[in-house]
Amino acid sequence: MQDYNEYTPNTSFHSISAKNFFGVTIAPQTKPDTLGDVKIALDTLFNNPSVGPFVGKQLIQRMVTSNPSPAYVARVAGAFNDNGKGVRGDMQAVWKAILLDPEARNTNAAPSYGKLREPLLRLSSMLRAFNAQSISGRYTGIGLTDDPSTRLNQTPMFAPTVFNFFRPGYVPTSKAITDANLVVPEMQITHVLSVAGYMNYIRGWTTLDKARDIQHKYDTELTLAATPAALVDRMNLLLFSGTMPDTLKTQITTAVASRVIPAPVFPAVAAASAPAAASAASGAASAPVATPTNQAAIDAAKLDRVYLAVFLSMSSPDYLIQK
Amino acid sequence: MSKLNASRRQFLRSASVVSGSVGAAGAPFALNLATLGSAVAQTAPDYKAIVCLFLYGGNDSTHMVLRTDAASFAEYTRMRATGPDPIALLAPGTTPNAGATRASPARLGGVLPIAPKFSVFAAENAANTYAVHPSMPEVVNLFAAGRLGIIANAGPLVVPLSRTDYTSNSKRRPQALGSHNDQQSTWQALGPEGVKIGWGGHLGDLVATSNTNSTFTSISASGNNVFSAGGQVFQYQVGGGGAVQIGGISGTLFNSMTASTTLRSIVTADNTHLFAKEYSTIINRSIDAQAAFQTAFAASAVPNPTQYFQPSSGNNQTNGLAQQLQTVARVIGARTTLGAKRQIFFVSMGGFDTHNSQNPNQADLLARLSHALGYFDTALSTLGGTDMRNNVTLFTASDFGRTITTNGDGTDHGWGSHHFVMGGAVKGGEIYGRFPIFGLNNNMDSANNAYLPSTSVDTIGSTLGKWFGVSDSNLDTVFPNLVNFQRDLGFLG
Repeated sequence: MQDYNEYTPNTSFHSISAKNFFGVTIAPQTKPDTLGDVKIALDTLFNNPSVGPFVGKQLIQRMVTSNPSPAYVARVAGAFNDNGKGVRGDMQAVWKAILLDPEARNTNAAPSYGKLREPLLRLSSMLRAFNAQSISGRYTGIGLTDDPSTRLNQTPMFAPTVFNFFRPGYVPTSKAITDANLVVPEMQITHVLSVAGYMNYIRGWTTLDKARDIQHKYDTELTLAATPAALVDRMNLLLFSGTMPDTLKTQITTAVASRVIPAPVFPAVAAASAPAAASAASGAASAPVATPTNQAAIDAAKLDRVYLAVFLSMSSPDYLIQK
Repeated sequence: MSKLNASRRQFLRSASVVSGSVGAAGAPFALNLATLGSAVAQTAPDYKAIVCLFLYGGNDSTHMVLRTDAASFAEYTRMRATGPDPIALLAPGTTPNAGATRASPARLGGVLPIAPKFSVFAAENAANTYAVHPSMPEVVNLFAAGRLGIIANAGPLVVPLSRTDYTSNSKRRPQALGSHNDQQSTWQALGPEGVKIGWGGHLGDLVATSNTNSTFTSISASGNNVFSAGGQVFQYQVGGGGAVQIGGISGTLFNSMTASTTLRSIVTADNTHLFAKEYSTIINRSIDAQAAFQTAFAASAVPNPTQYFQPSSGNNQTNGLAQQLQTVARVIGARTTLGAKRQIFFVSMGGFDTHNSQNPNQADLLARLSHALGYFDTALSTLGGTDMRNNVTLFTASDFGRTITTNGDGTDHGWGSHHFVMGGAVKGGEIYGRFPIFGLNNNMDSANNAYLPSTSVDTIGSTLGKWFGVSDSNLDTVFPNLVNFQRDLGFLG
């Protein structure tokens, strides 16, 4: 964690002259009142009518869509200005206005709607979807993820500047986007290195690794490994909120199925009991269940199928653009 | 300083700004080949590179290059040796006090004298003596060797401006002075945030046809930035390892060849959604250039930089800036294989926004900068057995200079600032442009506690562009305000 310095008033460098600021005048002082002046300054800024739209639009961009309609911004700004009970700056009301707005809730097929997922939110979406837990309880081991060549080009709490990771008005190198007057803030940390670095990094996270402190599980997904279409449906549910295009579904399903699960091979001695194993599954409790000699290969194939479903999903531009 | 990189202002380290765009209306692409040919030196291989080294946060260059004659230094000391943690550096020859706080002026010892030749640019600078920050011994050596020059008090301007012009608000000035992101953009792209083509990328547009593969014209070792963005040429990002290959898009993916083919298809396919379309465009660009780039890059070896001495800790530390310059040197070493004859590079370091704790923070930063410049000069001197120093010119840039006075333990946002130009083609050992008189009320030099630039960014860019082989008429297009300023500062050729 980065440390911080506490700001303290330095009265010997503080003016006692009259101060004019956004239409507010602070009278001359006989001795410097640093904190009093700071309070007036902050209150004046907080009450400026530009704050609601300014903050509201940026929060919408972070949570919902890069290019909200002016009406959407106005609704959120309205909630900032007055929570319905005459209170300004009630952030609960602001969040409610952002997330429950029709522009956030309704499906929107416009080719400009939505936002590029920040790299960190891609990793967190994977860890949440597959029930990641910390073995030690301290959530260690992810570390700095800045390097665009090998990681995410983004580390939480380590924005490179006071302007955060990217600017709200960033316009990428795209004629279509420029012509449409759109902004795509997250594209500011997207380039030829980072797109490759992300895919390689998330491919590493796709596989299970007992050495990690933070481990996710594919328990449910493994039960679907034999049915690729059902496995891909689960990806659609967990990673796409049900928006996976049909073409992509077909592509991933076919690719998953291409990793063939070997047919079970039972020990030669127990060959005659294989049918018994089958009947055991159907209720003949007394017969022992034989383990195929190739169980490890079967498990590996099933795991590969889950890996394919997860990694192909998380590599696709349809996942990366959150709509 | 016992705390890690402390306040939120201090950790400003590598702001990137708006970059990139296609379709600058009417951006000229025609290369004046005749001009290009005549500008090429007889003996050197036909290769030239410009390297922009950006100091993010706004460097207090008043502490990087100083006047040391008695009158100048007394005024400097009077205005900066005050407050809770006085920042004034000490006179040349002051012995370092090993018992003083690490990285304090007393611990660093006196500023390091330099001896400008005043043969190319004498002007009014010659009556004074000069020095650089005590953490910059490599700069002293490069200056003495004639491969590093100083540009005094440069900054963005629309027209030349005096204090009277400034206070009466009678002449145009750049927009959003004092704003980090806007002044970064103005240094890099001649306009506030939102401008989409930088003058580095624009120069790249004009020379791209001399390269076999235009993809390798404008290269950033420091992520997206607007300086590198052209109207036609894209900025190509490289890391310490060069380009990055995407695993699994050829051969097998999780033991399936079919899946590997599918992966490539999914990530490279066109998409109706505009953002997804742009994302896949970047992936395609990444895949298409990677193999060719990496083959050339891997074959180009450059010795690793040593660690630099960090004044605040007293320890040697890894120099990330030198590592970026190593990457640049490796790309230059790969020029023949890459088919590159004209290249624009971008590297950066951050942390210069020294509102507080300037003593330890800036000493560390300038030590790192100086060490990296020394390293780059050495690396270029025997690059694959060839001395490439005459072919590569590096210049520094920064958001702005800082206030003339101290705020108690640091400095705030200013305007004009001193900079370095380095390379074998640089007529070094000189100070170019009018060096400002230290103080608050000099009509030529200062207003509002900041230096009024005496040299425009346009002039620096034009001087570099001319050396690069760009015609005068094209330079007027790249730098629309050049008509108001000196076209050639004289530090090259």
